[in-house]
Amino acid sequence: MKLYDANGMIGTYTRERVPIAGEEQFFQLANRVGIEKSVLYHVDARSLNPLVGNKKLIEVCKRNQSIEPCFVLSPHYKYAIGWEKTEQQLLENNVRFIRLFPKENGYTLASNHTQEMLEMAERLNLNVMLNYTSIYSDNGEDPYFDTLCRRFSHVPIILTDVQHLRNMMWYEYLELHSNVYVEMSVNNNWLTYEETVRLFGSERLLWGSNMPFNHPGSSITMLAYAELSDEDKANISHRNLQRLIGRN
Amino acid sequence: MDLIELVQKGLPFEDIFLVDMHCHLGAYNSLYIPYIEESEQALQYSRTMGRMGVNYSVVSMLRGLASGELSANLDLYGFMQQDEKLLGWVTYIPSLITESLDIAERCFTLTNRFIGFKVHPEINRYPIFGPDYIPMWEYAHERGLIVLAHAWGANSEPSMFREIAAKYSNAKILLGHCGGREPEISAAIQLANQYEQVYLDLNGAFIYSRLWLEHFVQRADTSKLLFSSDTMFNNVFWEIGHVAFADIPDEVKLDILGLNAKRLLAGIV
Repeated sequence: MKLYDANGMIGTYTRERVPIAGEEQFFQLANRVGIEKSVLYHVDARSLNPLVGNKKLIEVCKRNQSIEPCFVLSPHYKYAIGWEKTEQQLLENNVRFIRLFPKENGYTLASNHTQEMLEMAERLNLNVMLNYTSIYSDNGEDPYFDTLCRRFSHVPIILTDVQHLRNMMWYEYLELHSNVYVEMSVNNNWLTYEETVRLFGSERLLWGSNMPFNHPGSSITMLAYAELSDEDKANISHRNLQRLIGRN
Repeated sequence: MDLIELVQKGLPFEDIFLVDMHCHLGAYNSLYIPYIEESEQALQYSRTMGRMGVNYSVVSMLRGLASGELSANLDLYGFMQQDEKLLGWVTYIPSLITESLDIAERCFTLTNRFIGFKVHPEINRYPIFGPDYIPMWEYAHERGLIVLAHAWGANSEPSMFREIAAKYSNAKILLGHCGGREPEISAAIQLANQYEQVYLDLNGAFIYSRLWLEHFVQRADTSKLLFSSDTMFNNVFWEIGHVAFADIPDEVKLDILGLNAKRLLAGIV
């Protein structure tokens, strides 16, 4: 299988202990398991400061041609340099993916900040990534997520590390919103690929590793053994992500 | 073809002995599981086993834990009769002591392919150290049975099993999910290293813990590590990747995948 990773984080994470210590180990493992291309954000963009971390990401990309950069966007940009200069940076660095971490970066999903960033994504034809815990808590899924998906129906919104115990909810997102994509790294339900493809097709499912948190091996075998056509497997393993990368 | 090549191509394990120690059949309340009819589910699961090359799966019935239908254990016997690759866990519900033990006696008399008890203190919301589990522990201790206990949550952390392991030394304990996260994973490993009869059930130990199999192999007695999937909640295709791609010796992989279980289940498999 040709593997393009839709969900990875590069850098040295110090908020908790993870099995991969940094950039070198990350790429050693990615190469060992055969990942050819990765959409990555920098750990410091999430855990330290988005402007600082995204700058580091660009330096990493210069050293590694296999990376497709994913900028973490947050209102920090608005107050530090303004949205106009932010857009310039996105264009200059050929960034096709942005990630939002409302909880970590000090704002809410329902804030006007999120609205402004999604308007930017719409203007620039960017793909937006959100991890599942950004929309899910003990109270359930944030209903505002549906509002965003509807309001920005032309913006691909990629839910990463979707939780296997919440399958009926992300089925609903796939059903109601043609712009929602699901990244499958920790989605390990029995027959999850077979059922999801049966219900919704394979065009909005993305293979991912969730490195450095999870080992990519389990995500590889989950797809390799799934009872799917070669066409569906190729869509999931790399074609869907390639299509998102190539959006103009 | 080596193990990694095999799994990258999605080929079944033909020459590797593979035992899945922790499986379920049935429907559940908070998750969509395909095939609501258990007989159809069992049939489809047989396909999954074939695709992976599983030699044996040890199954408990969700109906026998999440509802009072302990007769589900006898239905499991029916499935086991149709598929020799299925072994069974008899479910025990702490609020239904007499009924649970009656059914258990019937099941263990029917066949030695029922290898022990399955208990789930989180589904039944009762602590594993509670008095209503004592009859089960005594039963298992007297007969040298295995107890697969869900060991992740407020009622079932591995550290709660210390006194149980000390007291019921003839009952083998399989710590389900190894505690799920730290520090309970370390407690589980320590228990398995200290007590000969304590084993570690690996499914669920990797998904949220930020620990990979190498961590367990470095710290635990590797003869105590047992592969499992937690089917139908989860998928054997996902769990197998943790072992296949782990940076550990091949002989340890083979032990974990099935040879440790084969030793534990000597005379049955």
